[in-house]
Amino acid sequence: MSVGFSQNDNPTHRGQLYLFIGIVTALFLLLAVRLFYFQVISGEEYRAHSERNRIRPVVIEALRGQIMDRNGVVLAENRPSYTIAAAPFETSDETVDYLGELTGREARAIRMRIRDPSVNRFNPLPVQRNVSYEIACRVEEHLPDLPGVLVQVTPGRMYATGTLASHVLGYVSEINQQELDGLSEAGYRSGDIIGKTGVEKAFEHHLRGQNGMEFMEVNARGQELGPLPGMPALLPQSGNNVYLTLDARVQAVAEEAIPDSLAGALVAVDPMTGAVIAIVSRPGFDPNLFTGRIPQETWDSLANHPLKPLLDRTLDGQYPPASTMKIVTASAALDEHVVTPSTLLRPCNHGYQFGNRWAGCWTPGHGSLPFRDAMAQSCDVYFYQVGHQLGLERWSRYARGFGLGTPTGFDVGDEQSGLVPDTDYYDPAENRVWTPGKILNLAIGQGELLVTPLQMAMLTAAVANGGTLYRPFILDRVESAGGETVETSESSIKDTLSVSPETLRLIRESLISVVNEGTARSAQLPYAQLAGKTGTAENPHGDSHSWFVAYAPAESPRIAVAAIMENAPSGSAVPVVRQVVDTWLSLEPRPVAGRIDGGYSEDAAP
Amino acid sequence: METHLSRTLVIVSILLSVIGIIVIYSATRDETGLGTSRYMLQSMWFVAGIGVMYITSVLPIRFLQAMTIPVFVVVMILLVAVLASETVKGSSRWIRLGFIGIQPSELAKIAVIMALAQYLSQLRTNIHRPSVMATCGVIVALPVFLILSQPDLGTSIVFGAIFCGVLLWAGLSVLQLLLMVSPLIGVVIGVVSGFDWVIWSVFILIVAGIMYLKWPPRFVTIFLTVTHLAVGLGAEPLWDSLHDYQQQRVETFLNPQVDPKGAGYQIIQSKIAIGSGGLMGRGFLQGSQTSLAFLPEQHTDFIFSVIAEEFGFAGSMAVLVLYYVFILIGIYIAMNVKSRYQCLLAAGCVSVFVFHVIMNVGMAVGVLPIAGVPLPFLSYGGSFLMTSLILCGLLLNVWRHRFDY
Repeated sequence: MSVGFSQNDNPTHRGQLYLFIGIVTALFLLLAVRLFYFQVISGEEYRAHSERNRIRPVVIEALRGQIMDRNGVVLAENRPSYTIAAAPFETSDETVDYLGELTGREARAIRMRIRDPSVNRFNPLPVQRNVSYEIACRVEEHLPDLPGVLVQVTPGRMYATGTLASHVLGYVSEINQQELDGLSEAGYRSGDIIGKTGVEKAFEHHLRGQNGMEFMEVNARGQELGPLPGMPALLPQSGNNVYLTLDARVQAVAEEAIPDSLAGALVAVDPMTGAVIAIVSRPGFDPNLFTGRIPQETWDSLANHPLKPLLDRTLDGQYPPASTMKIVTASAALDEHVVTPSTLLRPCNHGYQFGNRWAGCWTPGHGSLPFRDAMAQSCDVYFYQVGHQLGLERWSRYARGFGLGTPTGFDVGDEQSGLVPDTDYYDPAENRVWTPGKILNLAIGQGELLVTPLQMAMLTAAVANGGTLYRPFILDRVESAGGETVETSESSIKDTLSVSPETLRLIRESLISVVNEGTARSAQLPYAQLAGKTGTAENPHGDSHSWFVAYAPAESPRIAVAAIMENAPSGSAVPVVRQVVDTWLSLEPRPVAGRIDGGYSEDAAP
Repeated sequence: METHLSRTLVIVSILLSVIGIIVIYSATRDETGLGTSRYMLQSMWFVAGIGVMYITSVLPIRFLQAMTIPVFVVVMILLVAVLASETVKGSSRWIRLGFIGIQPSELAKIAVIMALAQYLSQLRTNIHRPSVMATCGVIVALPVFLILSQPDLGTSIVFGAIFCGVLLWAGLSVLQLLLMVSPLIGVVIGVVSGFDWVIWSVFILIVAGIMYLKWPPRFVTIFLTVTHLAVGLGAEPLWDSLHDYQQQRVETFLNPQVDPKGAGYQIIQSKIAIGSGGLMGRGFLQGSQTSLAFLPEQHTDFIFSVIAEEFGFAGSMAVLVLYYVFILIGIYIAMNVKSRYQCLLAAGCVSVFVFHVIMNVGMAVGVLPIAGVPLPFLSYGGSFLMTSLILCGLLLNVWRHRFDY
């Protein structure tokens, strides 16, 4: 110790510090004792353990939640499937080559997966899912020559009803690198199954569940000896079951009503809530094809099919709405007092002269018709003149007001917006030149105007329910595997039509005329009044498309439908819609949660 | 004895660093695809670190004191910058300077020690005054908050150890310290016991007993009562409002056995590795043939297991003894310098070493939870090796200038 320094600022209380030294010494002694116990007393045991065995943490995959329709009919479920997995650390390149020979998958692909530096080297990774029973047996037999490889029975996705509702259900497949980069925090690993499209993708977080893990003892040759004693398995948690508002019976009727040789789409919703009853895009595909590795020729035949079965026409198909657009044009004209119900315009003489251009109508000579007959007969000349008087600005404002040009807000997502041309749209710099004649085409739903079948269904529902534009939804409720309700959907309002009740009343009357004495007489049902509007969309690439939008019963609507049949004669969509409406109205109505909470009473206009 | 002391300190730190490089070589020699092998990188950091340690040890005390605020401010800016930078595996800890990456959270340890020592010595304030304790709390809480946001739980709890160590040296008694951190202990007890009110009440009774014995100032009594009541009433609803994954993160920290990604598995592998080392070990480079190759993070957080397997009980005890000697010298230095500033500076440095060694080895032998706390000098990682050597340099500095005041 140094002496001779009077100033000592050291704040230390010696007593406290000896206590501190005592504690540190005690802790070091504790660690020493622990090491002595492990290394000297139990050392032999641990050494034997480490030489004899390795431990392999094996993921137990969770059951994916089931998807049901509104009545509990199972649409997607699980079935046992064989998966070949390999623990990257234990699997040599020779083993990979041999495994490739046995399973018929290129060894390079397997190597790419298990040699990826970002994977956990000790957890076996699935290298080939959904292998056949024969291949699983062949690998199982050769396991002694395949150190590090294992054959697992894992839950595989099965779509019980085959192609039914294939587009909206979507499908699952192995996660890709891009998805993995975004989701590594959520616990996804290479080779995991993930929802790729439709409901499977939109409600992935509900359906997925949580994987478990068990700790297997493995001998020096990589064979599992059984679970490690004293290390209980972490059990997986099954995903939640998802109930849809879809009715499988109506869906099936609608799918069968559109012949296989044709492409088309149909959307049926509950006009009082926006709940989707049926949503059909044809032709369909079998989502079961995607759960394993899809053979190249199957993929090619789907991708190169002239009718594009993989395209979801209900959300991604964009068509001119044709004469169904007259609902919007007429609403604008009546609401803006451009015409009254009794106004007679220039006569239709298989068309009329607009400036130096002849604008044709679809049938020889309607003459001068009042509003309701013009609607019932779908006289183009009447709507040309109405459109011309409205002008682009007012017309496009009403088109947007009816929900066109923007996504509907469907809970499955990934939908197109369509296109409503307005004054901003016509920009010569963009090579989109406005000419006064264009409004004529737009007024009858042709020209640049594009809509999706889902948008038309919601528009029809809004007319049916008295002016409420709902967001369409397909999720009814989510239940845990144990049957507890986790989440319940409620219907939500996107917008309210800004047209007067009187205008809507006139529109609804005219839509009844369309069915009773107009272009959709084949839609009539003996026991219920339908109201609707037909359309024939000109298609520059081939035959025209046939539209029909309708709701029923007209006095208290319970279903609103929009349907389009591609390249089909005028009126082809009418019997399809009639059949769907007939099926729905004949079924005993079952309440859906959304309807109870969603305000049948409050939001629905009389 | 006086010069032997600093010489011993230097020799021990060099010995430990060299053992670290050798073991890192053993643990990572199988790895492929790295531009420069890890043991070479670690060696380069070591050489640079020795230089920085020497410089640190000769800086004038007044210069160190003058640097306190600039260093603290710069480190805080770096911590904020790290949060704003891109993330690696979900957490952002590094700042890239050319080809090397540094962890500002490591530098923050040095900055906080300097700041606490400076504040508590300069004002000559009574450590028992609540305002002084509150200021110390803020000095520590600032970096802890930023580091928790990275998120890096392991590094942030080191600051708790620094806080406790420095305040203990500054004159606070062990029981008073216990009282100060008791609300935090209350939270942990609540989460672990699943908010069992009986267990919590027993804990509160113990706290009340200590308070009765120590009879702290009225302000402190009120503060503690209010925080305990707030914790008791508010912790459970607050906990319930956390996301599942946030709860899981905390639970995994408090109890690694529940981690589905297999922290429990790491413990088992570590135990097998340590146990199979036996009395004399399996020999250099012989360990990774078997179970150890299954041990993740063996060159960083679990490097002690590699030593224990390859060099046995003899090797692991030798390393423990080296640390023990190092820490005792540190304590001796802190007890035998005359100035308050130097004493507290040394105390902070010693606290870091005690915490890291006990936590890391305790984790490897399975008595403490896995918290991602590396072993000083030994674990792979340039920033932490550099920090360890700088802290050692500060201890040498204090001893070298012990007569200056």
